[in-house]
Amino acid sequence: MAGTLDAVVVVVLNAAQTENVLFGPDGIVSLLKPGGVVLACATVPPDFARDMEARCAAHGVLYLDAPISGGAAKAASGQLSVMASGSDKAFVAAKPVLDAAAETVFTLGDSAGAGSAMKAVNQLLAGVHIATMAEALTFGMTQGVAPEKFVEVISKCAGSSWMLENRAPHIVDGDYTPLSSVNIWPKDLGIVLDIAKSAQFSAPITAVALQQFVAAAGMGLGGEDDAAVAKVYARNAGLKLPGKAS
Amino acid sequence: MSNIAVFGLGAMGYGIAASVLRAGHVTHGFDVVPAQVDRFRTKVVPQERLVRWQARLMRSLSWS
Repeated sequence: MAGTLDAVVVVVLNAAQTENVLFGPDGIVSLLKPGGVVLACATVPPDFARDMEARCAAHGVLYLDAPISGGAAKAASGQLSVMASGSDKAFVAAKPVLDAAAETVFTLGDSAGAGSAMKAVNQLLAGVHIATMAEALTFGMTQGVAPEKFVEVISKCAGSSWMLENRAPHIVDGDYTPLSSVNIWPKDLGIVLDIAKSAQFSAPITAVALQQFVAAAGMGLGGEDDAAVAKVYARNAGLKLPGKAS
Repeated sequence: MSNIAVFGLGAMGYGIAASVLRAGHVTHGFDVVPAQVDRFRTKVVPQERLVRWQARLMRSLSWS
């Protein structure tokens, strides 16, 4: 069946869903025009991205390894950062989407994999920073530091992080509406640890952060905002977090 | 104007689909959660062509 789509943007949870969308029964690849492009935005292992690029090429379709960062607000306003790698042709074909959705497009290599590698680096930091924020916020509570004061002061001090400024207010507000869910992190930090292991690179801080997110999921918080990792610390220390949930 | 499909209308995909649409492209949005597809269709683009594509593509795709 000849396709009519110029571009397909795949913004699903993981590698398995990406593969299913592209190559599952009646996969979307068959609905792309020859020379059309897939922009793959999920966080996936670099080897998976390379495999998808090759399989798309076998169907006459281009592939841009295009993990994204920036959060829901920047997605809505078309101001995402894209960590992209792929052929020149893939970049050209993807330009209408990139122009519309991205503020910053990093060109990281001429084949798939490099974009996903950079995304793994970002996810290592993002996941660790969320868990560390939760650890520091709840540690502060044991010392008489109220969560709202924590946010007010630390967000203006050297210990802050983008994640602290973005996520700690969720804890202060007791609002765990999932803008980015706990369940993202066992997956993404798992990818980091898998590829680190393949490289014989030990990433102990990432490993501990991963365990905290697994514990949160085990408490039934997998579908909550990832700031809910603070509830693991609160439970262990007998602390009462702001809001109706404790 | 390009003909573009966005698969996955979660927090990120929804914003991307809306941005692509805003830039003037024919935009088809898909998700395993029907309510998200309805939200995209009714709030962002009440467009007959998209509805036709939606029906056709959803028939042709299966999800795990």
